[in-house]
Amino acid sequence: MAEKTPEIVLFGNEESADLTLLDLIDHVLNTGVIIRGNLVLSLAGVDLVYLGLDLIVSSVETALRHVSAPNWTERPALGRRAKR
Amino acid sequence: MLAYCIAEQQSQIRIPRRGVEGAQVQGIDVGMLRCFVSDFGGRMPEGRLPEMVKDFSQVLQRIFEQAAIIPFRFPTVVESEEVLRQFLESRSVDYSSALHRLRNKVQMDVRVTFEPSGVPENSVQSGKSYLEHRRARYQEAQSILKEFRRASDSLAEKWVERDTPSGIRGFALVDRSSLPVFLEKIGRVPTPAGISARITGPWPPSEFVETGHE
Repeated sequence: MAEKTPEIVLFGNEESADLTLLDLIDHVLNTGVIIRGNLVLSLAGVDLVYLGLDLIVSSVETALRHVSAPNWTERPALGRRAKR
Repeated sequence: MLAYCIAEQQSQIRIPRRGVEGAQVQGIDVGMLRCFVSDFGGRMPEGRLPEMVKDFSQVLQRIFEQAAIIPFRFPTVVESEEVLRQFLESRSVDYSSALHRLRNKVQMDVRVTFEPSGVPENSVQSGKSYLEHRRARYQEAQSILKEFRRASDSLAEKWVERDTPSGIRGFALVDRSSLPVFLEKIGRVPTPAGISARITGPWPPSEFVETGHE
């Protein structure tokens, strides 16, 4: 069977249109600094961490149902640890 | 306020005018660091999430084009500037060191995925043979990622690997100036039928921050 070469999608030029919403969601939800400790993450007496996460999870599920992502069928998983 | 990312204060950064939900993005300087934030109402309307994610990513990318950054995970909402300052002051040494180390570096993501075989799951005769089949596919994906690592040669300063449900993912730390050559080299790596590879970036090098706090 024929071999292929990898699909390369670069951010920041016209080709970035091919960067799917899933790519973006995966990065903004799964990477980055998490503030803990002495920061107060509450608004009007509601804990925004849980409120935010609950809504985000349902929103991601909704987003995933409406986004077509060729060559990428997996959902971003939260909290995986990396091997170095 | 919604926190986007942290950069070195010395950087001459043009701040994107609009962020999530059209709010004005501003920089808050704390010691050697500059943190980018915008006002945020604290509401996450479900239908707006895709646009909010795009707006957030655009702000990160615009700043990342100009300087090394450490992104906050979306949505990081901070109650006040004072609490944000306390947080940054407590970690300024670590973050300054990481930002200095990651100057001019980008992260490229290499996702190696085994494609659906077309064989229905229930056609596999036993659990053992199913697991053996999956292990073989995973090992194949691993060997492809090794080929990417080999092809990138010394152009990638570091690699991090992470298993995924359908394959394996590699993150390469690459100097921005080496990116064209890096892409040319790994773009030639063949993938066999049944395996797909997708390379995206350049992303902020979040996998390589290693401050000891996260």
